[in-house]
Amino acid sequence: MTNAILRSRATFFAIGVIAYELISGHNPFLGAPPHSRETILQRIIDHAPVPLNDLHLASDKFGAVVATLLQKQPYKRYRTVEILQDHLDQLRSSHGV
Amino acid sequence: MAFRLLHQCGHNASWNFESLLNDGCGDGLIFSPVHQSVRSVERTDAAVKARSFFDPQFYLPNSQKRKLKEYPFFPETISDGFVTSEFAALALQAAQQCVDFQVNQKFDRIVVPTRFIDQMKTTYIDEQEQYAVAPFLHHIDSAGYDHPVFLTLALTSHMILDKGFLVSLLNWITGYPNLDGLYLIVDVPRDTKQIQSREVLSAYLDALREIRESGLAVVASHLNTESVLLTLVEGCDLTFGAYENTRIFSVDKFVVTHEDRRGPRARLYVRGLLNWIHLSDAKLIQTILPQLWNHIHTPSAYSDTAMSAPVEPTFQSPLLYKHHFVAMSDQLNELRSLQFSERKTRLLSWLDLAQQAYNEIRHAGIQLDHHGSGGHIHPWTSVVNAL
Repeated sequence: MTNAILRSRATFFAIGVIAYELISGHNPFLGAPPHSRETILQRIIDHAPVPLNDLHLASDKFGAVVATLLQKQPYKRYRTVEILQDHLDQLRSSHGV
Repeated sequence: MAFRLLHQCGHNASWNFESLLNDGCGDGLIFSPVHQSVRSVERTDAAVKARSFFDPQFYLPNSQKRKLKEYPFFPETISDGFVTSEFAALALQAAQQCVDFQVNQKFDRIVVPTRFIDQMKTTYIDEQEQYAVAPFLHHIDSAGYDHPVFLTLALTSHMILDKGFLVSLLNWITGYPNLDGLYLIVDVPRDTKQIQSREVLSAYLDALREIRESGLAVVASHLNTESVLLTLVEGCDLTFGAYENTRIFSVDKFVVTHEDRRGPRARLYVRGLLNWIHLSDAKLIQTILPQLWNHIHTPSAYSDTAMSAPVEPTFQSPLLYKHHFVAMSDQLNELRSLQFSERKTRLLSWLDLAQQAYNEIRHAGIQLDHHGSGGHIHPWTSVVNAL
């Protein structure tokens, strides 16, 4: 698999982590201390963050967008920036923004 | 539910053209260079090509099939004798010519070919990328073509049953942002013409659903009557074809053989049985169980002529194939208009009626052959019920 492909799928995951942290105030994969490199990596592999909508911090639809970005398998994340943008546009228009 | 039904062209592709244009069966064609010369592709009506696509068929890149070798971009031709290790140097040239051919012929999309690799080897993705996918996508991008781009993927049933391998393929395919869809072939070895393995059918449906959910379009190709089951994957385009090698994929059709070609015995597609049966058996059912026959068989002008002919039509006659196109497109069109739950209910009722019909045929002492009997009904019912 080319590096470019790996990079684009990893970027979606990173956007998901940032979005989650911005809204919830904590990193979705940072568990209880101590925070070693190994424990963080292990949590990225094993841990399923509680969806933002279940924490009542986002609407169901926006929670689903962030959950899609944070999917473990790259093929379950958004395939292109345009698809992500489209979902966000739909969300914005449904909220009358 | 929007799905398209496409003719998988093979020998005598004129039957597919006529069925599409005169009988209104199907929505377009899939051109097959192993069966169609460059000249016949070039001479096809532009309006037909505008709703059809061309499968470059690099499945067996050293194929010696005459028509395939006519295409200047075919690996065996462009390399003047295909050798895997040397092809990388020619891959971009082949890609340029193949893509430009599809664009110049004004097909509705560009199809990127891959090889048929039947082993789940660790280099599978790298090989496909190096020899076809990367050079093709590079040329499409640098030439600025904005056509929809589809990738061919010919898998074995083992590959779709192996979750780990399938996931790695899905991660690979969905990683190309400029790819719009997949042209998917699944090679299912079996000893009956209908797929009877519950496990394979479920894995097949799951794989198609995963592809659709990732936002890619998909054309499920080389389908026999299991296409009715595949309507349960929303938006999955389906195919039908005349000869068996357009309905059941085998790489053998790209291999030159010197064996005598024996024509298959004439079979008729019987809608109510969701199966093809020998024409002689069809006539027997019509005579012994006329009421049941009227119930399970929807006649067409083609089947009427075939049934009343004093001599059974051979495989060189279009009658039984054109009847199949009419019957199958009617059946799929009926499902096309339904919502998922209604479609599922309709399919289950068809399967139930088919089972009852098979029981009645058996009780009447009519012996259908291994392929024409109803061995597929029970596993198909389980697969649909599990959804």
